[in-house]
Amino acid sequence: MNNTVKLTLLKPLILDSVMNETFQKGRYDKAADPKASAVAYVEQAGNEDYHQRILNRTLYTSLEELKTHLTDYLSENGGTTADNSISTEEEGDAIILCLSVGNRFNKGYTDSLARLCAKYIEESMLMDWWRPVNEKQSALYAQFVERDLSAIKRCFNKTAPVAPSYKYTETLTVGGSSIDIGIGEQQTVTYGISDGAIDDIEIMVEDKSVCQVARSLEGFLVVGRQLGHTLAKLYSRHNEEVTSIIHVFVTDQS
Amino acid sequence: MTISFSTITNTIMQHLSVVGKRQHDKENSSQFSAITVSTAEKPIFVQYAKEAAQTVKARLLPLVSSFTTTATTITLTLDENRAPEGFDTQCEGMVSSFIVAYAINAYLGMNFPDLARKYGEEAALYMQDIVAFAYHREAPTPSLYSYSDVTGEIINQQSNE
Repeated sequence: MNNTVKLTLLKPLILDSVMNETFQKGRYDKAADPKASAVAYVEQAGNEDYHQRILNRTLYTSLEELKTHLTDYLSENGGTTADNSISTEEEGDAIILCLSVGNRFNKGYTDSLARLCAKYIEESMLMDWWRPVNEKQSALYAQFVERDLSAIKRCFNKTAPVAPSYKYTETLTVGGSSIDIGIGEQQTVTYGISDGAIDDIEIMVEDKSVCQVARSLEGFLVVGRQLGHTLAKLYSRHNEEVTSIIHVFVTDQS
Repeated sequence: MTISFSTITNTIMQHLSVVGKRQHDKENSSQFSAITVSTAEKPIFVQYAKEAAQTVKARLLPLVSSFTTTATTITLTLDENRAPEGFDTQCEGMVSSFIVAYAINAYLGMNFPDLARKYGEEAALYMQDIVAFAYHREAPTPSLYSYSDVTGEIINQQSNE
């Protein structure tokens, strides 16, 4: 059984975080070396057309990479990854990421998962930003990306299994309070239980020499064995208070 | 920014006048006439100004979107990306000062190298400032969103009953 987790990531916020991080790096470099103005300028992601193209490309490639990682983590009931579905769509500024997870997914981690996914994309974008120009810096963000993935993976830890629960009947009604049959004759005793409850009704006869009972498709079949009277008790196997008594008379029918 | 040659040339002439009045040779003769230039010689400063502007252009090349010169002006257009407030005015002032210092250094360097040195050093400092200023970005504009707007929710929940 599946639940769908809907994650709402915000594209402007991701871009803002990336630009802030690169701005901070450039500012630090300029503080360390006042002659590094031009270096800092090109390090800092700006609104230049080509910067925006780089950022947009890496945003979507990072998102796609994230989806492939999530596929690994969405193991559901031991099934194949093909059982999992991950879809993305955009609504204005939002990137919607829908994941199909098992019903033991810990719902307390839904917000965490969204924020960690956003963080993964940001740091993956920064890893790509630095890759062509600063291998050391890129490697640093590669470590952050691994850490983010590890945290994302932990969000999918399953909660303990929930004990199954079933609905047992709280009522038991029978067609009549007595039956009258001859020796060798049979009659079906029908009964009704609460709507949607599990049929756990059994029958017990006080004097088995008078009649015998067996389950039938419609209810219970009562067959007269010898003249006499006895009581048949219908009862729920799971609730001793749910019972119904029927008088069985085996009489000479000639 | 648009810089007029006449403004540059007039400023240079003022500098040379001030310097010339106060310079004397070993015989204590005024150097005014040697240091200042005649009207006929003034066009040399237009040439120096063009050279200086080309130097600025080269140092700011990644930012330069256009550079044109006419008979009377130099126009340099820079891409502004999160530039500081008042960038145009301040940058124009620094570039003008650089051009003046560069031109005087070039002119005095021919006959008065000791006097020229001071303008050479000034030109270098102006260039440093121009580079630092032009290559400065302000912090990015804050996003309208915060991380609390990034959310997850369970939809299409199914029970295991």
